[in-house]
Amino acid sequence: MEPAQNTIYDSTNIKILEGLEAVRKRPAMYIGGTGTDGLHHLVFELVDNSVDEAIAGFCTEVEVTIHLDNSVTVSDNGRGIPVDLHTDRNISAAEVVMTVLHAGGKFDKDTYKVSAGLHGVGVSVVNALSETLHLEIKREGAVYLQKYEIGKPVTPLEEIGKANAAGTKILFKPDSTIFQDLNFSFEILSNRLRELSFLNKGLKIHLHDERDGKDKEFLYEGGISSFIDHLNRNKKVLHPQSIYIERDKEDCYLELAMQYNDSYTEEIFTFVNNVNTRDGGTHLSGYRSALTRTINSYAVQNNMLKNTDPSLTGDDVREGLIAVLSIKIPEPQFEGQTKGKLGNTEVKGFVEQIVNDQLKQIFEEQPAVAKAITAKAISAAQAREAAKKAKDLVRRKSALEISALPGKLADCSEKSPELSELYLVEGDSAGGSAKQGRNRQFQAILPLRGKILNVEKARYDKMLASNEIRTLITALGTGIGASDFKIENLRYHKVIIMTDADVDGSHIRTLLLTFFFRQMPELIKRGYLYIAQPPLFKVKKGKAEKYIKNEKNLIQYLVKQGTDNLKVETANNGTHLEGNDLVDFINNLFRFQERFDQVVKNNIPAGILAALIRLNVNRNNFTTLESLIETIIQVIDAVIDAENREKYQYKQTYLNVPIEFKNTDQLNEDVEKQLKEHLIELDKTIASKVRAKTSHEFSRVDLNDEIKGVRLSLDYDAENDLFKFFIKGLNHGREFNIKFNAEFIESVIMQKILEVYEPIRSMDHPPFILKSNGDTLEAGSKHALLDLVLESAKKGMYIQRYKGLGEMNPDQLWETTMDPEKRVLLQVRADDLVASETLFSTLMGDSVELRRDFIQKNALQARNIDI
Amino acid sequence: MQCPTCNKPVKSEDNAFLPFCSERCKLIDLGAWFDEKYSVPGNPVDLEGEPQAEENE
Repeated sequence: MEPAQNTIYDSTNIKILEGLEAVRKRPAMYIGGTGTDGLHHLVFELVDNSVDEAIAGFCTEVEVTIHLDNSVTVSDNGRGIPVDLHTDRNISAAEVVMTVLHAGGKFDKDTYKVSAGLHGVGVSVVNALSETLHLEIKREGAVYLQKYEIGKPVTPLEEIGKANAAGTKILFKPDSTIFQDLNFSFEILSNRLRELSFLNKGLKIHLHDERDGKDKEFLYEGGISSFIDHLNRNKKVLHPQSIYIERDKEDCYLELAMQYNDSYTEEIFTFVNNVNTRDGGTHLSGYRSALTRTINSYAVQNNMLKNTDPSLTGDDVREGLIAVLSIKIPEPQFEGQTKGKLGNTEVKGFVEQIVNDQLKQIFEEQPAVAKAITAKAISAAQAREAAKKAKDLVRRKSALEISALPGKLADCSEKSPELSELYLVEGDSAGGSAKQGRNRQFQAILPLRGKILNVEKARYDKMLASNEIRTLITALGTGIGASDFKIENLRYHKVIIMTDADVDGSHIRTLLLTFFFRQMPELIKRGYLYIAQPPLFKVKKGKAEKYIKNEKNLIQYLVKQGTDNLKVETANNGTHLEGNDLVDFINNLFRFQERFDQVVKNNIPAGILAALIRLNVNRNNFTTLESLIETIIQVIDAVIDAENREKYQYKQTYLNVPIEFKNTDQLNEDVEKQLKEHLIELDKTIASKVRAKTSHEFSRVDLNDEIKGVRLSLDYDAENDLFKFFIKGLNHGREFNIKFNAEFIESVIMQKILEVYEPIRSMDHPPFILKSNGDTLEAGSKHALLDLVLESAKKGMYIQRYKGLGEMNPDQLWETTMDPEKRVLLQVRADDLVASETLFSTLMGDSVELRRDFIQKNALQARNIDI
Repeated sequence: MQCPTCNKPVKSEDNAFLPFCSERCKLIDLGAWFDEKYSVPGNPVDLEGEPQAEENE
C-alpha cells in the first residue's frame, strides 16, 4: 500500500480507552489462553504492530530474536512510538501505549487505515503479562529507553543517546506465574512470520534463535504469488505462472494469487488484515462465486461444455486449486467461536466484482491458462457425474437383488460361481440359438446387441447402449466403481465373449474387451474372461461333417485330403514323395506360394523373382561386376524362351541383351577382358554412354510372353562397395522398373520366402507327375501342383463358411462352441489387452484415415479365400 | 502405457486403477461408457434395409 505520507503520528493519535488491571486477572480473555498459543501470541502482537507500520509504508524490516532465557526481542525500523506527552494524561504517549489497554495507533482509523484487527489488544497486554519489558525507541535523532515490570514502569522514559535512524525495539520476558510453559517454539514463530512476509511483499522479517543458533530470513518480493509457489513446490502445476490480481479501491485492498495443480484437493487461504480467517466468511464466498461464474462462462463461450455435460459446480472449478486471498479493510468484523470468519457483508460484493472483472480479462489474455483450468473443471464434473451414475446403479441393484437381474438374461440353475458360465452373445438370433443349445444347469446366456449409430451416410458405428452396460454389470453381480466393485460377488467364474467371426464381430469383441480391461481388470487378472472360438467352416463330404476353426486349419485339412493315396514324382531322376513327406511338402509349398504372391503383387515379374530364389542369390553376387553379370545371365537363361532366343540371336556373337554401364570408373582392361568371356563388348562411340554391343538393332528385347521390352543397366554403389542392376520393361503389359541389389535380397520379405523355400528346394524340379488310384496327371509348375492337390481334395466336398453365429442351429452351436468336452476357449490375458487397448484407441480415434487403414487390415485378415 | 483418459504415462506398480493413472480418470471413462461415447465401426450396411439408430429393450 502507498505510505500515508501526510499523516502526523504523535501523542494526539493515541486514544485512551480503558485500564490494564483486568489483563493479569483474566489473561485468557485477551490472548486466548496461557498455553503455547497464548505465549506465542505475545510475540505476534508485537510483530503485528511492526507490520502495521509496514502496511502504512514506514517500515521495511522486522527482527525477532529468541534469547537464551526465553525472553524475546522484537524490533523494527518504523517511525518509533511517539515520545511526546499525551494530552489526556500527563505521561508520554509511549507510556500510555504500554500501560493502557486498547491504546495505540491501531485504534485510530487515521493512523492505520487497516491493522491486524483480531489481535487488537495492543502492546499493553504484552507488557501486563511480562516479568520484565524494555522499550527502546529511536525517534527524531534520539534513543529513548523505559523499563517495566509486570506492566508497571520502573523507570521514566529517558533519552539515553543519539540515533540517526528510527524504530521501536521491545525486549520482554513472559511472566512465569502466568504462563505454564515459557519455551518458545521456533517452528510456530517461523510459520507465522513466513506467512506475514508473504502477505506483505517486500517486508523483510528476520528470526533468530540464540538458544541453538537457528536463523531464518523471510523476504518475498512476489508476496502471495511467492506463497503460492511455496505451497505448490512439490506439485505438478497446470500453468507455470500463478494468476495474480491486486486492486486498491476506496479504503479496501485486495490481493489474490491462484494456481491449479493436478491434484483433486483445494486449498484456499484467506486473510483479512494479515489475520488468517480459517473459517472463511464473506470475502471467501465472494471469491468462490466469481470463480464459478467466470469458469462456467468461459467454458460456454468457448464451446468446451457440450450440451450433455453438466454445468460446472463450485467443487468442480476448485479441484486442484491453490489460492491465497488477502484483503485489507478498515473495520473487519470477525465472527464465530474462534473469530476465524469474516462477517462484513459489503465485502462479498467487493471481492466478487473485482475477481469477476480481473479473472475474465486474464482468461482473455491467456487462453492457454484459461483452457487448462476449464478443462480440469470439466473433467472434475464428468467424474462427478460418472461416480453418481455408478452409485445409482449399485444402489438400485442392492435394493432389488436377484429380482433385479435383467429379463434378457437366461440364467443357469447352478448357484456356485466356480461352476457357472456366462456367455455374452452378440446379436438376437445368435442369442436365441445359444439359449436353446446351452446346458441350463451351468450355462447362462446374456444377449447383447450393439446399438447402431449412424455416423456417416455410408457407414454405421456400433456401440454398447448404456442399458446394455448396466445389464451386463447387473448380471455379473460385481457392481462397478472403485469402492463398489467386488470381485467376490462375481456370479460366474467363466465369462465367455461369443461374437461373429467377421469384422463386425471382432470390433464388438474389442469393445467388450476394452470395457473389461478398463473397468474390471480384476476379472482378467483372475483368468475369468474367455473368448469363444466358433468354427468358421463346415466341411461336408458324403455323410461325414467336420467343423473347422479357421482358414489355416481348412488348408491343412484340404492338403491332408488331397494327398491321400497320392504319389508325386519330380523331374529329378524320378525322386518321389508320398504320405507325410508329401503333406509336409504341400504345406510348405502353400506357405511359399502365399509369400511369393505377396511380393509379386508389387509388380515384380514372377519369372525373375523365381529365378533369383532358385539361384539362391545373395550378397556375394553383387560384389564384383563380373559376378553380377554372371548372375544376370543366369537369370535371363532361366526366363528367356526358345522363340526369343532365336529372334534376338541370344548368345550368338554377342550376348545380345541391351545393357548400359552407368559407372565407367569401374571399367578397366581387366574387367573388359572378363566381360568379353560373357560375350559382352563395350561400345563407347556415343559420348558419356557405355553400352554392350549387340548384333541387332533392338534397344529392348522380349524374354517370354510375360516379360517384354526389357533393357538393363548396371551401376556401382560407392557407399557399400557393391554393384546393383536395374531392369526396365513390361510385366504382363504393365511397366516395371526394378532395382536389384543386396538390400533387396536381404529384405525381410525375401528372407521369409527363402526360409520357406529351403525345405522344398531339393524337390523343386518340375514338371511333377501326380499318380493316384491309377490316374496320372502332370503339373508344369509348383503352382499348378498346388492347384491340382487342392482341387482333388475339394472333389465331392461341400464347404460352408459361417458368416455369423446365427447361421448355426442350437445343436451345432452347442456341439462346436459351447460343449465343454469339445469347445476351445481362449483365455484372455492382460498382455492381450494392452494390445486390445491400442486397437481400441485406434478404432475410437478421431483420425478417419487411421480407422480406414485399420478396417482394411482387418478385412484382409478375414478375407474370403477362394474355395 | 498411457492412461486412456488423460494420456499421461502410467506406472504399473502399485496402481489400483490400472490402466488408468487415477481413480478420477477411471471414473471419467466409466461415465463415457454410460454416456455411450464409445463406438466401433460396424459393417457397412444397406441404408434402406437397416433401421436408423434404434434403442434396445
